[in-house]
Amino acid sequence: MEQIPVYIFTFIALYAQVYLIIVIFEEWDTIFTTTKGKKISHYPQVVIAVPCWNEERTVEKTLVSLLALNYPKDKLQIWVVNDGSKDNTLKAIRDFKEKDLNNQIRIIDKENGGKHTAVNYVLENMDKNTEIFGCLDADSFVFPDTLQNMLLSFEDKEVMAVTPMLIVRQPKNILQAIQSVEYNFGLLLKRVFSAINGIHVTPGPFSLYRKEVFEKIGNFRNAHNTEDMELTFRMQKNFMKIVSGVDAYVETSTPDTVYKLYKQRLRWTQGFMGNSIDYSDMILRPKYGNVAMLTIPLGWIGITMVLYMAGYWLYSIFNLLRNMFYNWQALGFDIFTYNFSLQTLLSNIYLETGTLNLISIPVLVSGLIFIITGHYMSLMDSRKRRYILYFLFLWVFLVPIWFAKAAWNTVFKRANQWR
Amino acid sequence: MQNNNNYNYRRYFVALVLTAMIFTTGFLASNMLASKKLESVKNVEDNISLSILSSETEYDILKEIPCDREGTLPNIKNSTTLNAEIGRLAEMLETLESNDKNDARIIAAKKRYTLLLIKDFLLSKRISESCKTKPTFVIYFYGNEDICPECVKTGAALTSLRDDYENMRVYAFDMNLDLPLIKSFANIYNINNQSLPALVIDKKVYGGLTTKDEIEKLLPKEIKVNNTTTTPKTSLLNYNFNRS
Repeated sequence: MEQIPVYIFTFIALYAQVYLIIVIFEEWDTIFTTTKGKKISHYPQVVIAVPCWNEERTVEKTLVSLLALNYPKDKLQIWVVNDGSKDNTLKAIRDFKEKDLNNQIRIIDKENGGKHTAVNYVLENMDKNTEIFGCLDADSFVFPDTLQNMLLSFEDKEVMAVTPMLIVRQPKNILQAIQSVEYNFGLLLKRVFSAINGIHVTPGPFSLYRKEVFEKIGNFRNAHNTEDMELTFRMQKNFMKIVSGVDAYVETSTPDTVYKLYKQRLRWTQGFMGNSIDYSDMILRPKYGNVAMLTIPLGWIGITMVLYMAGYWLYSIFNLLRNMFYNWQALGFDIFTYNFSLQTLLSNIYLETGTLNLISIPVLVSGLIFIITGHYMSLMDSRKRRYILYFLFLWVFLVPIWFAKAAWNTVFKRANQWR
Repeated sequence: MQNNNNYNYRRYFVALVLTAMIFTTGFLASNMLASKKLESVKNVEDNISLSILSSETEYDILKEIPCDREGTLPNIKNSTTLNAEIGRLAEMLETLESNDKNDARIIAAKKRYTLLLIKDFLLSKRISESCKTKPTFVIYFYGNEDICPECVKTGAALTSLRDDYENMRVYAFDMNLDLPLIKSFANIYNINNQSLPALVIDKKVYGGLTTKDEIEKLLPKEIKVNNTTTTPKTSLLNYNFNRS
């Protein structure tokens, strides 16, 4: 009986994978296209907002990467908003301004009001002739061709927003290495979801929007501290097309400690839950397309599945420990000579052949193929393949932690925090 | 505004069909493999039946010859082989049970195993009585956690003891198994679900023993002689089927 939910979850996981594989084969050309030999027809006026809150260590690098963008200087403006930082962010920005020979950077210093207020300030005050608005978190860095590559996607007049291809900046420890694999896996997933217009978040590091988006549906909102996700939900609800940029690489800094990672993912997961509850009238309505039929439901099923499995494992471990304790009570120190019958477990005839195990094989294999494909789509050198192993063995122990806390916070309506 | 959200029913349907096919294949394959494993269980059962039949026949011969010559009879002499076979069958069933304890085929196999166990017990008893030797066996009645939370400890203690004493035979009976014969057998010793875990050693009933030391003290001397540790060790749950 206790296996029935596991059967259901396995079926859904397999179903989702089969679906995505069908999409990959049918939309192969769209998903694996490149920007080679393609040029944009004109250079639109672009404004990039850089909201900063205590980013003194990284903001300069971010600005350097923006100024190095391969784009006409008179068509690109960078608005750096110091959102009431408590460290020396403002000084760092002002010092850097001296290096801005083409006068592309504008500095705004305001009281702390949250990221959405910083970005909205730029939206409300930028030049009227702006065509494309973008946002770059002050811990992320663009490559010289990223902007032009992304603008190629806007050649399609229906496209209202373009998301970047996020990769992890120089992993320095195992935790960041694991995240790099996750981000690379996300590269492929984003492209697949892009092909079916099922993107549910336009991430903070360098997503670009047409100005009409904000004119039609309004500016950013706080939205459970995930303003980028809320805007995407709102765009999807208003049938706006969002695509994943091609060769649109953006490097982002990732948390280097488990606690920082936990805080970040808690915010993301809780943001997903909160926003999808706020937009629950969209879910499972075919009118709203794949984001409502696939992406959001899959997110919820994923969270439920991870929590159920984690509970199941904890219960099994508890049982095992309890049995060991009973054995110890019965045998005393003889327990150390006790035979746990490894031979029985390993013997061929007893090879576990339950239905679940057999069906898990295609689920795991196709999952692994997705991960490896993602790895090759990233700019990561192939020697870093060992990161995939770290990911496979460690990620499963981390995810349930913030999923559980996010579920708890959502049920008991506790607000989350940025950091 | 135009609906860009190209929702595609065909893909969802094709994916559903393919997933159902993979799932069905998984079911069929695991069913097939389970049948294969049950076949090997059947083989072991056949071996045991044959051994018991041989022993019974030898017992009949035994009536004709004096007891001190029992060593000349191969099956009775090699009773430890039969013991090991029964142990192997128990292990196989235990593994199958952990895969799917509700499988009717496995439950049926377990019932057949229990019958073989009772037969073997009766035969050993007859031999020991006619040869006037002290019985070297322990009868153990157990149940799952609902009716006997302590059984897991007794099971572990017995498994460990049997590893220590080659001559010791443990006949373990699962009171949860729907087999009237077990209940009748338990009734002989006035044992019911409330008195589990229950041990019968030399016709005396002991309830609630859970440690190795307690049980070891009750074992007859005959079990302890010729003690070697060469017997293949059997697993933890050998005497505790159907634990969860």
